[in-house]
Amino acid sequence: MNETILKLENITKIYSNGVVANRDINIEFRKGEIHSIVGENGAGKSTLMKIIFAIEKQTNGKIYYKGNEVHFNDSMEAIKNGIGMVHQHFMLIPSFTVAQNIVLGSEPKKGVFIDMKSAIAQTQELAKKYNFDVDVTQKVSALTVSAKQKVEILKTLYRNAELIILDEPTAVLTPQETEALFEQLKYFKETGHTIVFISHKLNEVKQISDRITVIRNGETKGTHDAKDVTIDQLTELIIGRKLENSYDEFKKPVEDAKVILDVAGLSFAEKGVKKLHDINFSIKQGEILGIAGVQGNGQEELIQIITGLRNKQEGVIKIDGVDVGGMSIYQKRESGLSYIPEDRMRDGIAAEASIADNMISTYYERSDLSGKVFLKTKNIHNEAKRLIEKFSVKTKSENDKIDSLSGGNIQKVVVAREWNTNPHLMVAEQPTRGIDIGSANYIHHQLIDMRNNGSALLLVSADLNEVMALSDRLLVMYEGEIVAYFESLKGITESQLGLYMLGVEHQSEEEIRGAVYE
Amino acid sequence: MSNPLKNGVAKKKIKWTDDLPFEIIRMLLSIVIALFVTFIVLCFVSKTPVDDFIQLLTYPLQGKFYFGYVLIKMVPLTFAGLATLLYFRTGLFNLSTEGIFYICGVVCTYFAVGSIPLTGNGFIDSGICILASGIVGAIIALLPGYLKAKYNANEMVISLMMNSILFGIGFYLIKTYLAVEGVSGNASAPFTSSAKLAIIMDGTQVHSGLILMLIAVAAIYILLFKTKLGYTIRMTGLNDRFAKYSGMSSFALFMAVHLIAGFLGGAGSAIELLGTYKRFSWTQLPGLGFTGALMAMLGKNHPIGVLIAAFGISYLRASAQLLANSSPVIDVKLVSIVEVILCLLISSQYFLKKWREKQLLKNEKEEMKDE
Amino acid sequence: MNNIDIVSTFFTPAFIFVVIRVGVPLMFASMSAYVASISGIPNIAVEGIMIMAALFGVYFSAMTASAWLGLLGAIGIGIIMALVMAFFTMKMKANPIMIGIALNLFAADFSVWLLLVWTGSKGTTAALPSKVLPTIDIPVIKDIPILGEIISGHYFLTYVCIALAILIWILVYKTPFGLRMKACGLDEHTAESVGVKVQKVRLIAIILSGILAAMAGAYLSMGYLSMFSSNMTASRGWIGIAAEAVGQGNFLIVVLTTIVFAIAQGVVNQLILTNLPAELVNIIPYVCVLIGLVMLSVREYQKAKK
Repeated sequence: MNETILKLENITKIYSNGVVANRDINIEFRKGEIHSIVGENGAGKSTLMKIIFAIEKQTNGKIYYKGNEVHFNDSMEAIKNGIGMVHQHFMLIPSFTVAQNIVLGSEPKKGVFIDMKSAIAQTQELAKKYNFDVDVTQKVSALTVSAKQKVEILKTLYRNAELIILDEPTAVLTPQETEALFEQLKYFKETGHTIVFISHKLNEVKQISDRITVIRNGETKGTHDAKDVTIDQLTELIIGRKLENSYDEFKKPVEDAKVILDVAGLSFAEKGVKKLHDINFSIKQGEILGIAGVQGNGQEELIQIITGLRNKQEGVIKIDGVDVGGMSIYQKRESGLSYIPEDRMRDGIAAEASIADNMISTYYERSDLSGKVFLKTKNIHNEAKRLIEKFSVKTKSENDKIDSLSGGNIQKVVVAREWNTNPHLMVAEQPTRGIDIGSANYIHHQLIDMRNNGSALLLVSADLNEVMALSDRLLVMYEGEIVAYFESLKGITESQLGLYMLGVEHQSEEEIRGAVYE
Repeated sequence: MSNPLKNGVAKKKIKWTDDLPFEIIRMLLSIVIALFVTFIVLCFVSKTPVDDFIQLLTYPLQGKFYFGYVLIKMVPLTFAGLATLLYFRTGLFNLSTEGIFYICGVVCTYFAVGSIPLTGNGFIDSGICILASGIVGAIIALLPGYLKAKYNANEMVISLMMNSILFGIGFYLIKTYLAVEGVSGNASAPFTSSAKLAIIMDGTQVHSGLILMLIAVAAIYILLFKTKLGYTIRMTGLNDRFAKYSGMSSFALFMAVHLIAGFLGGAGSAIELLGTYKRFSWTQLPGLGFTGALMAMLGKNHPIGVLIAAFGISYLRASAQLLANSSPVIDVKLVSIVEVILCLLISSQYFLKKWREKQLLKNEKEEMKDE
Repeated sequence: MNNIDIVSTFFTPAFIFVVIRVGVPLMFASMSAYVASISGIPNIAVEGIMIMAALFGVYFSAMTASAWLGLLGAIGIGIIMALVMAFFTMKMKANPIMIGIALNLFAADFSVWLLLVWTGSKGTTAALPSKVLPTIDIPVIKDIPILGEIISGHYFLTYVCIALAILIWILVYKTPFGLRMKACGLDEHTAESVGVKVQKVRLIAIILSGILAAMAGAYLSMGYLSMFSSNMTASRGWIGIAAEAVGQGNFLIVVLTTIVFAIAQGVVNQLILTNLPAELVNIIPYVCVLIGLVMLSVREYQKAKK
């Protein structure tokens, strides 16, 4: 149990843009343990794992594996030596079958040909051996999120991994699915596998780990036996201050609130698959309606239809009493919609453009920023400066390219821009995913402020803590339907929500109807 | 995470690793390499490579006429470059400027040979020819524009097919309706003198198209950086999903871009013909539209960059063309070596990146010592 | 020949023979675009590689007095251009579309310059004593009526083309390497994460693409014609790329699309003999490709709308 399998010595990683991701990291991983690495987003956990798995090369420092210093040239060598990695974003090809995905790169052969029969047999057997219930002849695109994760783990087992790195595996799972995963991990431990578990959910980490290493700002803050540290102690090591669990004290009531968003009978199907079924809810001024649910249960489609990225099929969407169903994105924004998108790099910014250019994209036609033909460049820059200051975006100049900022600061630019149109309805989709706690906190307060000033907010997040901390009212979605509605979050626990999120329980029609203001 | 730039404000020293100086170093080194390779190639084929090479680099400086020749060569390259730049900036790989140059040349010829009565006033007559070509160019460009905007059709292959089709149609029109007897090949009647562009520099062939070219550069610069349309072009080109999310309509934008680019191509073609040709005599695609893609690439999709690139390439092309009579191996096509090498190196993100990283790393290490 | 006679020559064995004859360079070009595209680096320099290979094939065959060495020379230049493409897109992280455009422009101009240096003229290599690759009469089959007329007596490279089409199908769909190629094209990070050497797979795919494009070029100047003339590829490479685009990763559809384009080209070769204006007849294949691409896009558009 005390035999060291992997040892990191003084690992330092400096990226080409000068960012120091890791500095003098020293960690020992013991054979057969579950060893967690915890730290804020951006603390350098993922970089460290990439170095172990030879996706990145360390700038300085040594890696010892099974007692010998190793220099893996690429992931293939790491894999051959028994290291496996389950990435945060799944590394699966949707149009391939499960079996094809599992054997890719180490295919069974018959002569020069690929032996698909034996590939299917081998993967099926492997799934059986480790109690994974997956049909290996299915295409990956047809699988649920947790099934995809199982395929990822099977991939490492197929390659005889002894040390398995799991990068934030529970981020996309329900509490119940997380439980099941943990059972699995304990079984791996019994079969002699070493598990490196990366997370920032401290409850889980404390529950599953033998030992825990904390990383802050790219440096280690010590390795501890899980049974010897409390969650409070870990929290302090990670961020140096305590987390806010609720924003209730900051919320103020809004008088004479009228209904802003009204969604009635919304249904949507894609390629014959029902994605949304009879969705009904409304939101008033001065409230935040949260939507909880495991990713991929229709939230994305719902948001895209409300914001206009997808066309509506059935049902009515009203903003301020006006049917916006047939409107373009532009018209919807004109009628008071703002939207913080889930993926800021993909939808929320143009990475190569300046901060100023990114700051005005949704309202550059405002009369103080442009005339009929020309832009009023000076005013645009002043406006950008004002917002940079108000939202304390850390930058030297509004002319800098936005991708020179950190994730948290980029997200602040997005929030500032969406805030600046003074929206009636703000749709916030994963507003703090992947950013540092300081920025996340700041953004939460901005959202609360908007609520207090009379905006209606629709919040979708895979982070249950976030939804519970911010929402006034809450919906739970499962397989494209609303399965639960909570008038207030007082006394509701995570595991209660988990039962709805997993489809174990389902409220009555009448209870769910409560989400609509008559 | 520590950020080495945090001390950057205090030290206001210009570093070679900063964006602009680094870009300039890359550019200069690319030019040196391109010219060096040209020299090596000359060593293989020429008996007097050193002389040839020096001649190639200096010939246009040996007289006002020669330098003027460089300037007039710039004109079509810049127009084609500006048109292509608009496509590239919007994220469209449209190469139809080549075919538009050809067919609009035919249109220009139709007017310039006096098929309809002209006024005799040089300003108005050349204006009619240029505008007519430009408008036809704009209308033709709307076809791939519409297919892209509405159906997201593969604009590059479509534009290339269009080039061949436009050439076929254009050549048919020339041969059938505009060609005159007594001239070798299929050439039109001479252009009416009032349609031709005036010479603006004594002792050279430099025509007023040069001024139009500068106006076009300024106009595109203003369009891109000072107008709302330009803003939507830039944002869409950098990230079309972001533009859509922000509420910008790609349909209207794509149509507008094709319209403007088509007009630039058509007008550029007319200006080239009326400025430097006596009659229409293109029996092949002139290659100017494709060179526009080159200009846009070398000029880093910036109108001023396109102007500089057009000057540089025209300088070498003019020089090579002037020397072609006296040397068996120098020809305007030789310049393609310089062009391709510049293109390859300038579009290489990693060219000199290692060097820059090393410098940055050195700085970082020094700072770590300081701490 | 009058116009009615011409129509009656369509879909005769002789016509099918012509379709095969004009279809081979298109098929090579399609395959060239296909193998590069499915591994994730779109090779739009097919046209440029064809031109250079056509010229070098002629040059080497004239220098060595051997058609076979000429073919080797053509393939060699194809590989060199493919390597340039690979180096700049993979090592230097340049946009493959830009590199493709640059190489096409270069090939179009530089081939003319070489032509000038080697022959003193910018038109054709008629002055060079170049060789052509042999035609092959298949014993037994050549005596079968109709079938023999259609499939016997083609150029050597025609049979190579057919054999390669079958081999590429097997490679892509039945071997580990094919699975890896597709993985690299669909998601390189995933491929990398399971130890697939993405760079190596792509390098092999691009070299293969270069060889295929080179064969298309060699076919044109050492079979179809017996010399090189400037711009002799006449957008055939682009037609191949269009066929690849229509196929969207499905090799059989790519092949079928190419055959349709080849038939259009065959029709042109017949119609050109009539008194219809040659300039307009010549644009038929390009119009067909254009229509094909538009139909594909409209179908995709309607699918997305549903």
